[in-house]
Amino acid sequence: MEEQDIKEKENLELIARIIQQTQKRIEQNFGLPFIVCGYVTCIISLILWVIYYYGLSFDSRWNYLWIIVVIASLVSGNYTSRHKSNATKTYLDRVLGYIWAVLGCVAFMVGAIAFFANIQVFFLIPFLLSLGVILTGLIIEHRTVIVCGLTGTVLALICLLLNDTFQILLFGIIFLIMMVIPGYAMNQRARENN
Amino acid sequence: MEDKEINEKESLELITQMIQSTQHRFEKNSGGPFLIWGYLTTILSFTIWFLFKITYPEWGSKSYMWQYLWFILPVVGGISTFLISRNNEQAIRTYIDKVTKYIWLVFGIAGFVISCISMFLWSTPILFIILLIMGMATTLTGLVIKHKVVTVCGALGTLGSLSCLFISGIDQNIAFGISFIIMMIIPGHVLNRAAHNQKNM
Repeated sequence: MEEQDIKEKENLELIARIIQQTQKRIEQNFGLPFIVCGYVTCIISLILWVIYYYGLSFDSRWNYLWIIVVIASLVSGNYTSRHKSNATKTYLDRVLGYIWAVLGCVAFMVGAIAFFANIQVFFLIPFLLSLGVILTGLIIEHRTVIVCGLTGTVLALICLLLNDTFQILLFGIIFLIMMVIPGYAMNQRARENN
Repeated sequence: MEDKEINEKESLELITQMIQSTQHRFEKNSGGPFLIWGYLTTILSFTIWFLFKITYPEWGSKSYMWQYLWFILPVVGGISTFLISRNNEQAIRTYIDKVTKYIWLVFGIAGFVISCISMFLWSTPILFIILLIMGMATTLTGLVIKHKVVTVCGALGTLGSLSCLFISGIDQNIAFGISFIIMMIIPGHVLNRAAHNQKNM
């Protein structure tokens, strides 16, 4: 009976260790793509806002610059997952991978459709991605990430009130709050854990 | 050392058992909510379309008032889901349970908020957005519980959202209803069937 108790205790300790380890590794993996995607989006938003607001050009082809965001996100995501793949992948890692794979595909789809249909893309993409940030925050139990995601949702809704030019500017600000801050917060906690 | 190895092995077996039991329990419990929301949304979608079509010649733009019938959805769906989850057996809650709960909580609240905003404040392509959100939630649920049919149905629902962009006016309701059949009703029945088969094994 006593031996059974010890085994159960050991089992629970192992489970707790695995969960803790996973939580730490997720944050190390996820911090960089968040930061890269956030900064690149913010810089491109700022460039486009300057171009359109100051009337330097009215050519809509400047919007093809958004492709850089897709490339940067894919490269940074791939880079981090490749460099951390020596550790065991847990079910939880996979779940977070699924969330961002699904959201990434949908955001890409929405962005591509925006070239053909009027779908308020500067509202819709941050709105959908903010749900992913909130989910990530809830799963890894990180309050800053949850709050940043919620702020992103609210700011995305505010986009609906603005004209196209200022929507671009707010789009960049949203990514700064919703991606860059959580990215640094996750890296910070990962460093503290180490 | 040898003793430790056995313990670790046992621990891993325990974790595997927990994951398997969660997967089984999830399938047993999740078919119901999928079916409630699926059938309710499909029935409402077709009913609103039908009522709009028969009243439009006489009422004109006032026929859009039928859209307020959508508020039946959160009330009936919410109460039914609450009652179902309350009647379910209390088993050990694992991390995967928590993840699926979070998915539906976040996407469900987002869907409700954006519906209210679209109804009362600003115009948005609401049926397209709802299908996108619910399609993503179903796809994610399928991936989390490792159920191919649920994943594929969710992905089809997400792609079905595009149809709402190319159909105008009230006819969007037809595409919306059909997408919910694929995205909610089929996975609901498949999950219940899987649970039934597991029980009989």
